[in-house]
Amino acid sequence: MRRRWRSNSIGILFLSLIACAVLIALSATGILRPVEGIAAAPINFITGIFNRAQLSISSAFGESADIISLRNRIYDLEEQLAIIQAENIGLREIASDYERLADLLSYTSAAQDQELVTAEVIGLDTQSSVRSIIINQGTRSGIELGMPVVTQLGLVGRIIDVSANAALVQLVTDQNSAISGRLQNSRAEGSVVGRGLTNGILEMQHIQVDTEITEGELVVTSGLGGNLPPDLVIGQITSYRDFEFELSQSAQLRSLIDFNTLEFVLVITNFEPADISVFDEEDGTQ
Amino acid sequence: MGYYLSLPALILAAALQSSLMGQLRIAGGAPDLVLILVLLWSIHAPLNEAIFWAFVGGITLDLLSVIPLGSSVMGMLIMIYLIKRLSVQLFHINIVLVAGFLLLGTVIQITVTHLILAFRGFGLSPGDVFQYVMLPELFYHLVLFLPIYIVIRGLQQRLYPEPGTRL
Repeated sequence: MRRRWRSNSIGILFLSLIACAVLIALSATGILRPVEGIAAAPINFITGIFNRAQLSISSAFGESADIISLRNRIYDLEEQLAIIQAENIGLREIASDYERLADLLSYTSAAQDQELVTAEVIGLDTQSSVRSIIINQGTRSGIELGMPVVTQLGLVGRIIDVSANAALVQLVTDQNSAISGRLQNSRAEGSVVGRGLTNGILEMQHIQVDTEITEGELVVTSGLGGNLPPDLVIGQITSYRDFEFELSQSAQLRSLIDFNTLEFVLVITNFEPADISVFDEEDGTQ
Repeated sequence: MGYYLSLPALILAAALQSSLMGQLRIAGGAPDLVLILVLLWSIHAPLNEAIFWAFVGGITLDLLSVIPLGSSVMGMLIMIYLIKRLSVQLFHINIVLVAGFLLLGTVIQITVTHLILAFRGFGLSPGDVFQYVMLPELFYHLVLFLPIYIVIRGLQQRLYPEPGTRL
């Protein structure tokens, strides 16, 4: 039995080896090339599928490596972005300042009869009951007490204190501020006082009873009293009160200036407040 | 049944060897999945079936290679003969013997194929073949043979319920 198997197996193996050798010989000569091509097609197809899968896996691993490098790149870029954002904020500030200064410049061009000193608002009064601002120009720039302070939108206030390089400006909204005003349409006079402690608005008092007041009407400085030049815009009428039993009318005004965001102002330096105290003294002597 | 199983199993193994196994190269060598399947299947399979597996596996491998068709079959056939000769004389085939068969079969296969390649003008020096092909492949086959053998043995026990090897 074993001998028979051995002879059979040797025979089979011998035949197989001969077949194999013939196959190698035929393949080496290239005769089997068309057959090989046809037979290889399905195997190549399957190999292609595996290869794509393998490439996907490899690229997934590669991508994970890319993700790490990209993450580091993002950190670097975020750092650069933060620096650029800080620079951008600075540039925006400059652009904003430029716009404001350009507006002031156009105002100064328009007001050619006025000598103006541009000042930056550097602080607010520390007393909450006082509505005043500190500017960065003082006597060295020719600023003196009582000089009017304006913007292109109108009157800001007056210099109430001054040092060599700084000055304190009393805002028109201050409770102690009183300015002679005039209604632009009716030309009626009145006294504009600040209501800074209550609601920040202005009130025009002592308007003649028969004066016709319209909402939205502008109020400008009258120049009476000699403290301020005439025709500086103080504000706009928002409402008025007309009681029959009162001898005068009063109106509420809103300044066109947002005092909370005020950054630059102009000081009119060629205006000298008139000193009328001498007349009071003369009256007193008489 | 083993005949029918050979085609998909060996084609898949060849496709894997041609794609994924290329990524597992150590010092230039990669596992020869087809050789492992053919040799491990041949240990407990009938001779004719083992020869059939050798032909299918070898030709499939050669179709994806520069080597002439049938070159891989030669070494497998030699090994199958040796396995069958030894299996008849041995009462029991243990795991060490299986590993020995596989390692020997790997050496024979590599030697035969590289001899044929040398005839075809693709030869490498014996030292390079040993260092960069044979040693890595032997290592891989030692690592991979056990799980593959367990699967193959389980399949064969379902296909051939009778104990022992069918010769």
